[in-house]
Amino acid sequence: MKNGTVDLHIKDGRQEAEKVRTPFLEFWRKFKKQRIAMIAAFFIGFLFIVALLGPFIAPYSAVEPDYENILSSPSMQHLAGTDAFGRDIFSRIIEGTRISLFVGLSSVFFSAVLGTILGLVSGYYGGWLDNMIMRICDVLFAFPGILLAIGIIAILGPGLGNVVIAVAIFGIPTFARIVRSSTLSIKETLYVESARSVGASAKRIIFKHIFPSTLSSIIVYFTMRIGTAILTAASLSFLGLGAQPPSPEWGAMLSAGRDFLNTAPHVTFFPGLSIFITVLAFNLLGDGLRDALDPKMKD
Amino acid sequence: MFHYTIKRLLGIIPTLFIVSIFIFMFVHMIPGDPARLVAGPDASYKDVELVRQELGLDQPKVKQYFVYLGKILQGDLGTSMKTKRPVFDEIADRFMPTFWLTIWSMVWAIVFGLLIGVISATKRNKWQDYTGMFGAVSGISLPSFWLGLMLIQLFSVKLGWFPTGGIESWKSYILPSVTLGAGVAAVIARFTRSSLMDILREDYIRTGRAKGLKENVVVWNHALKNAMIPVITMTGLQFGFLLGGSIVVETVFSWPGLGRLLIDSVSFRDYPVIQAEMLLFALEFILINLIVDVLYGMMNPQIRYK
Amino acid sequence: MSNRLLEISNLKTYFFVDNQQIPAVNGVDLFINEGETLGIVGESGCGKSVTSLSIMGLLGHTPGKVVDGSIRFKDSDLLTLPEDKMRKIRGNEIAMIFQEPMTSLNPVYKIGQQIGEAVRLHLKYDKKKTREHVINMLKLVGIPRAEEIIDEFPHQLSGGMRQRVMIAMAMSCNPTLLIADEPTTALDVTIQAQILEIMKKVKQEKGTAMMLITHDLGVVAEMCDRIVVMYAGKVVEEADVFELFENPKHPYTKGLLNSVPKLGLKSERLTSIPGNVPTPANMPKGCKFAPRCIEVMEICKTEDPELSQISNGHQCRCFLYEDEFVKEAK
Repeated sequence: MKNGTVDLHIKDGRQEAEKVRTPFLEFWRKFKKQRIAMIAAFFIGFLFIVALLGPFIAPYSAVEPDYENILSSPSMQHLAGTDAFGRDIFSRIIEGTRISLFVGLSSVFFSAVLGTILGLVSGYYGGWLDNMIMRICDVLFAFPGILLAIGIIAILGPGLGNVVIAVAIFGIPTFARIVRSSTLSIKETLYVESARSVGASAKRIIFKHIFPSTLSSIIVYFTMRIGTAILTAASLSFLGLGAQPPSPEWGAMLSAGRDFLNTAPHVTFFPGLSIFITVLAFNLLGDGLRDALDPKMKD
Repeated sequence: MFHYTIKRLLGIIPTLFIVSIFIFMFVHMIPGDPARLVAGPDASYKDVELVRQELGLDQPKVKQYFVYLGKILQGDLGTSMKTKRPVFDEIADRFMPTFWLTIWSMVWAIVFGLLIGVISATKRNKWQDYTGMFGAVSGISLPSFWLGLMLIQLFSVKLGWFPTGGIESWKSYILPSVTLGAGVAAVIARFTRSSLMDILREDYIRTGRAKGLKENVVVWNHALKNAMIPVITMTGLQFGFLLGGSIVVETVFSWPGLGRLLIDSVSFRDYPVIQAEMLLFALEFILINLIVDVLYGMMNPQIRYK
Repeated sequence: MSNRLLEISNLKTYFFVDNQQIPAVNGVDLFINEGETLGIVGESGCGKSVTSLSIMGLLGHTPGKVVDGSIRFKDSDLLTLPEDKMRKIRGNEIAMIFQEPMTSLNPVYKIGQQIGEAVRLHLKYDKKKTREHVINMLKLVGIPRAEEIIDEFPHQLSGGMRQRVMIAMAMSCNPTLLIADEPTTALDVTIQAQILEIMKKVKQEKGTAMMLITHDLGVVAEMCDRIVVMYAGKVVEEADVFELFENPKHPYTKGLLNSVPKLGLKSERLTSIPGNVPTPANMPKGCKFAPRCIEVMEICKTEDPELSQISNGHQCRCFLYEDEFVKEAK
């Protein structure tokens, strides 16, 4: 007879239970209500198309210099102007889309795979293994993210590939922790207990029972992480540690434009804007997914 | 409270120990011969061997580690390969500019973050909330180097209000600290909002309202004081983000701080300096987390009175 | 008729969730006289608590909204009172005790600060006088070591002690009406009796009127002068405590009384009311209780009965008593 603070027995889901919904439909019902996240999702879809078609839709070459048109302001011919070598910035941004999405996706994919495995193992087996993995995560957490990446690049040397590795490594501990904590809570639930009692192997329990339940947290965090990864990779390129000129990587383009801030601010403005909007789209999508999939998860 | 602090203090020792091993191993993970690295590419074979002995690189790794640890504890961080000065001095020169930059950024971030977070939470689902939260997610998505450059372009180049870089006067602090603080302010705003919204649903908030308190008193005293407990913890973690972000922002504003020193050292492959900086950043980060833990204990009566 | 302190007429409070409107309180009439204790009884979900929150004007932070009716308190209608005037009534003229003593006190403020806050706000006492007053209030509710407890934090107290603190807080500004929403539900049985005893004592000492919301008929019998039985957002029966226990009319009231064990009648089986309170989505068309009623008739399924007078001070909402209703009620 406990009746909470307000006699509000509306959400007891009686009506909702009448229609049987699959988890996906349930997710879709909640997700499509979030208009901003939907727009972000469409925009990201659009970015992927741009990334795929890249050179076919770019009006000019991204690498060929054009010394007739150095640092010209945005115009009808050059929507975002040209850079110090007369290259069309709009075309370079289109080509850069591929790099940014590739770096973002691949690095987060590595973090997610490794972090998830570590988290599952750590949470499922517990004991000294758990202790060791979590200690190592603590140590990785003791370094501010980008510093760790810079340290790794200091070892491996600059370059886009090494940026992917660096960004991937510093994302591992967070995935490991998230997956570990959901593993811990799921491990004790009845259905895993019952699976164990009928003699399922540890591998089977982990991958057939625990992993699918952690999937929603992983998806949410994966999406949110892509924004951070793109941002970090762009920062590293800006610092001269990532993609090197003449690569049309957005951070590198921005870095190259710094010298002309007084005379040609458009050289820095447009690449920066591209980074901002792309990262924003992934963050908005991540927020939307979180609200639809995993409302308890905090920032 | 005293015991709590002591316990926390002892708790960081294992982490510090492992961090020091990591940083020690750092130099040994670099491909190539560290002695050759220090001696330089033109050094003769004999010179390289001399350097190896001098640095103790011919000793077993475990012994080398303890020698390294002993030196750190005495404040000996090695010699910069670029300037040939003690690394300790190099870092000491650069410490204060970075320190003040992060402090000011944090001040902005806390003031604006809290304000936006509280307004959004109390005006839930109204235009203030939507504006605040859209601003916050934008703040998280903003590349700090771009924000910095745009601020320079607007306020230094066009309007001439602030210097474009370096440290000249108090004015020099404004743009870099705003740039660095923006992202953290956004994170604080989001976190304050969600934390405060949880608290505003609590029974004791209803009790406060039933007492006849003004809504402002309920929000700013009763709710915020509770919401601050998780917010402080999270804010402390953001210090790490600030330390990392300072590397980028210092490059944008030609700031004579630790971040620029690090980037210069990486491009010069000045490993002793990189090593020392990583140690310092990690140490600062751990220390800040410790302070946050203690603050958390002080704010939370359930821990304070044990 | 003695002095009316509070009179609610035709109160309708709806909740607006997911584009649906859900009538939590659907046309409630009730009154409380000065110094009287009124019990409001019903299963959870019948609108008891929403009624009390409507009186306090505390719905602003829920999806609920009063859509119709009036709540007269002394000379003013609380529903049209501006917020600043309402604040002067809350905690001062009308105070409230909640169900959950464990979570109803702010964990980061000391006991003394939390009680003193209302005292300083409404009675305008200075610091020293406030402290004295708070200590006296704590003593009044039987808190030992009041001088020390005043400087302690809620987590240092047990549930029973916290509920005493809540009572002290509610009574600290000498309210004329105390609303107690399930004040003992969350407590151990032994503590429940103590808390009820204290409430009785304090109430008598201060002459406060009380609205006691509960589902526990034992509590009602012990504490109340008059009882209102609510079902699905409506009053279904109202009578003074002796009349109701001696001569219950509404089948729902009878059901409630039969589900309580009685001393002396050993072998009699306890009966429970079949079914559940209907959810707003499948609210029956006629009498809201019809689907669960053992005396249901054809008319009950299509038409909703009116609340009508059976005898002086005894009202009931049921077609069974059509003939008995006093025609010119009031």
